[in-house]
Amino acid sequence: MKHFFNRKDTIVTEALDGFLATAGSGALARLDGYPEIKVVLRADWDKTKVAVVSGGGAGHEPSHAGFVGAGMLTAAVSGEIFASPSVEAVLAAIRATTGPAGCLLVVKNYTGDRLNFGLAAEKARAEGLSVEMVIVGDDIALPDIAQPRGVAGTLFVHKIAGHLSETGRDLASVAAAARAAAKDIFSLGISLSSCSIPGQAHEERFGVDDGELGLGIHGEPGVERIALQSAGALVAIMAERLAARLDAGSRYALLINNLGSVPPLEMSLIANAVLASPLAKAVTLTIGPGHLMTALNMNGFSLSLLKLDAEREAALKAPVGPHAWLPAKPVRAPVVVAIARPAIGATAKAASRDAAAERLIRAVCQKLISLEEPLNALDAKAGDGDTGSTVATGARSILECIDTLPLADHAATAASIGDTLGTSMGGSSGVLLSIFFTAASQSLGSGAPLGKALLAGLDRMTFYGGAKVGDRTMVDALEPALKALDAIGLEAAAKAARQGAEATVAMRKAKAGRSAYIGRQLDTADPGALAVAEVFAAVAALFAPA
Amino acid sequence: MAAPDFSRLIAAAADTIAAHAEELTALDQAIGDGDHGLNMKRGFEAVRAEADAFAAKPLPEALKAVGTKLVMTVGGASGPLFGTLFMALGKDLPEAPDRNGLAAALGKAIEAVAARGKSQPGQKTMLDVLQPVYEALAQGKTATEIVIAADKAAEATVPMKALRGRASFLGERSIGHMDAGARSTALLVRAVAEAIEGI
Repeated sequence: MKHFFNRKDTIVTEALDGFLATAGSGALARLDGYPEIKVVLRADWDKTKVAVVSGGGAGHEPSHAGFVGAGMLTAAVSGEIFASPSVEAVLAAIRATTGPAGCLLVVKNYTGDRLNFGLAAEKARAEGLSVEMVIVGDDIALPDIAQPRGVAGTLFVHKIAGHLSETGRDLASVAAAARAAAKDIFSLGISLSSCSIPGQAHEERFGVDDGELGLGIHGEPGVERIALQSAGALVAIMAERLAARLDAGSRYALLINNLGSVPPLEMSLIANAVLASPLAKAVTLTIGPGHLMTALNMNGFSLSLLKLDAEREAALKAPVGPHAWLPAKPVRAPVVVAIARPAIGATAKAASRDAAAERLIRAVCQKLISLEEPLNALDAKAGDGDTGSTVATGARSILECIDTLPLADHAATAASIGDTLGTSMGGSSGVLLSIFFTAASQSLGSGAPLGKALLAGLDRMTFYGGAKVGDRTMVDALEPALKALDAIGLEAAAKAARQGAEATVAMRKAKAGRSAYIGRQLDTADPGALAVAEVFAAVAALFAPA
Repeated sequence: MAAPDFSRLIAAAADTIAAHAEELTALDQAIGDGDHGLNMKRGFEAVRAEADAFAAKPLPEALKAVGTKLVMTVGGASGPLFGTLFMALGKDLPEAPDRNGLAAALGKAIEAVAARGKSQPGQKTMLDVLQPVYEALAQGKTATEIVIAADKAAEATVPMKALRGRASFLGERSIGHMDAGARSTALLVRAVAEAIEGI
């Protein structure tokens, strides 16, 4: 696995410096003790309230430094990646933040964290400071384990303790509320890959088609291998295990945590699946989805549930300083707004007949359909080989609706063709031609003659499409053709279109459209320009004097 | 037994940990979080940096100082646990220990580590090596026999199911891998035995 880093032994301090440098507000500071002591603390802390201190190994960002600020943590102590901080570091954080109101340590249940925070607490007490410790073990992966580990549900405790401290509660009541909350939190994680540590050899233990259920936040393997299946099925397994821990009739807050590298798109899909599962019946508040307590780049997520009462709900909803915290939101069905109807007057005109117009449209469409294969072959040399099919699809869609077109009204006909091409043809060429006909229709509707109206369409099409003559697109044929049509007549237009299409053979590089990605001499005509030339030739033949 | 220069013992311990750091990390990656090799290396390099100051103290004080250094500054779980081992050894060791004095102090130190980690032998931890080493020492086994006992004891953690530490979060899946802490303990036993006996 590849990683962005400089040196293995400065990863954490460099990351903390970057975090502090971009935190902005001046609300944060760090203790001067690098590299042994890595403590981020509130710069505005005056020790009059209960200090809430947490931390652990690095690699869980934004935990824990990201949650330092008003209403959450007073200080965060970081160790090296996945290694608990030292006693000295924890003790330094306690000394820096603890006044007469005392200090609550929020510790995730790992041997290292328990020992280092525990020893620091003992030493701080020996110095005369009031220190309480709450240990969070919210993971339910192994139901019978004596010491369940602490994972993302720990953030509920940070939020509740931080809020109670901010509102001026004393150490005993903050600690009691934190301990009670810790007992009411249940979390479960799932992942499709483990995480890799920068600068450390990594061997992916996951097979192509499996994931792990019940894994923690350090890349330690999960309790169970699990076959890769739909997100809904995976969420259902997790929901079932979590639901078994819930009290019937109680309300819960749900925290949806990205363990590292799940794309936001998939996290939202997961949130949707969770809120469609039986678990949703009990959930009244959601936090996330988002990066809250990660495991480096683990491609997984965790779900955490906290039983709610009025005090916890108020604590979770209270605004906080740290930006990394995602506000708790009440669960509500999404609002769906009806699609707006077209403005009056823009509705389609009734079908009408015009023999000449119908003959013209049929000739153009049939010509384009006959060119499907040759144009595809030509396009395959430079683009994705679908120009012929795209154009033929558009032409067929026009032929299919020709009996419904208001042919006697040329402006309305151009508008209808624009609408049809925009929805049926697809691709960027469908949209560009739709713009061409829609703009031409507007020009015709305001009284412009056909030649000027088509030039107006071209103007809009090139404005939105970005191509101009010389860029090896259909514009190379269309622009000279329409100019000649307006100035001279149909035969001159056909000739100009042909010359324009032939000129694209020598054009070195396409600057717009798919061919733009190639950037070398192609020695073939642009298929779009060629199609334009063929259409003008067909139309000129149609109207040629017998 | 000969009383070796304490700074030589530190160098031997730090050398063996440095030489096996990758192996320890790989063992830890299999069933833990992969930080054991780095943690141990960081700890013993910190001790090596102050080896002369430690060696200037009487042996019990030197061991206590090494233990305190590991407990206070290393972090992870191994810092406090290995630190406790050395601190407790120093607490009960006579200034010029004989084999019985060493065995008695090791017995007390094992109790201290067990209390600190709320663990006991049989739970796939460093205690599974320390306990047989203590027994071999108390039974008057040779240094070579003690080293072999330590290696065998580390091997014996492979089929165990972890009940403490990060590997315990795997349940049955922790079976089939050697415990990294047991391995590092066996490595330290070998390094110390070789330094003392010159084997």
